Amino acid sequence: MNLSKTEAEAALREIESVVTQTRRAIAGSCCSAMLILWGVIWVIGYSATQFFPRQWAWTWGPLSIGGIAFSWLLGARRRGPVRSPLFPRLFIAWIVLFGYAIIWAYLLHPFNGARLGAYFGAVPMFGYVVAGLWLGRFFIWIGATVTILTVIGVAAFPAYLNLWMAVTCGGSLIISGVYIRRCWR
Amino acid sequence: MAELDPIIHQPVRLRIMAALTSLHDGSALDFSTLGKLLKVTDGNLGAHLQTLEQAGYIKVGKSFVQRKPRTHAAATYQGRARFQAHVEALQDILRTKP
Repeated sequence: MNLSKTEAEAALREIESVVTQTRRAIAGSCCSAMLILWGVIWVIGYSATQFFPRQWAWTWGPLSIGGIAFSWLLGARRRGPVRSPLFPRLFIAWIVLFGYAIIWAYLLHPFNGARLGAYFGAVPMFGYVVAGLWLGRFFIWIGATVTILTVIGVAAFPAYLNLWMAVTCGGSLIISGVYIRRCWR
Repeated sequence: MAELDPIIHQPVRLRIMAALTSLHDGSALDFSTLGKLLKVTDGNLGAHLQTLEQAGYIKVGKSFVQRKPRTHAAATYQGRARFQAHVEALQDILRTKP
């Protein structure tokens, strides 16, 4: 088989384009709805905590349980385009991550309320960054951006930290989800 | 020096292999998603998948989602190795040809 340099170049470009499209189609099919869902939960939860801090348990309890139930429903009903032996392990990894996050919160006690909220906001972002090492740079960007915004909020706006988390971090998740839905399909 | 693979070289099969090898080892891609991604008809896609399956480069399987059958395709170990060699051969052409 004999190929010219131009033909080889075109074939390599085609391969790169298909790889990018495939990864985007996979992310678009399963992740955009999850990002929007959790972004909305963060906006509602952190806003409510800012204005009604004493009712945080009544806010976050139902929101977290509802969010997990909806996430499970989305995953079960949508059945993305990929079947992977990695998925059950990813699910277990999230449970392990949050198990450790709860233990660390207990070990580091006492936190003030807002910092505890920021801490539990940063934990899933750590998960995004680590998952991004396998799933693609986009997740690293989301995780790193929201984490940096969280740290800025803790340092610069401690009195309005929950509101900051709602707008910047919840907003980032919603925008990322909408972007994936609009541009990656 | 790596060699070009005549089975993979065909444009649609090249794109199928690129899509399937971009997944993690053991992961399979849905038939309809693959068709949409590559913008090919079901018949055309089916024929090329069959050629790749007969060569041992991919594995095609069926599963049921809400009682509807779904076809999935995954690159085999051999398919991944041959695709990698094909890509290296293409890169060699870029390096060595004037």
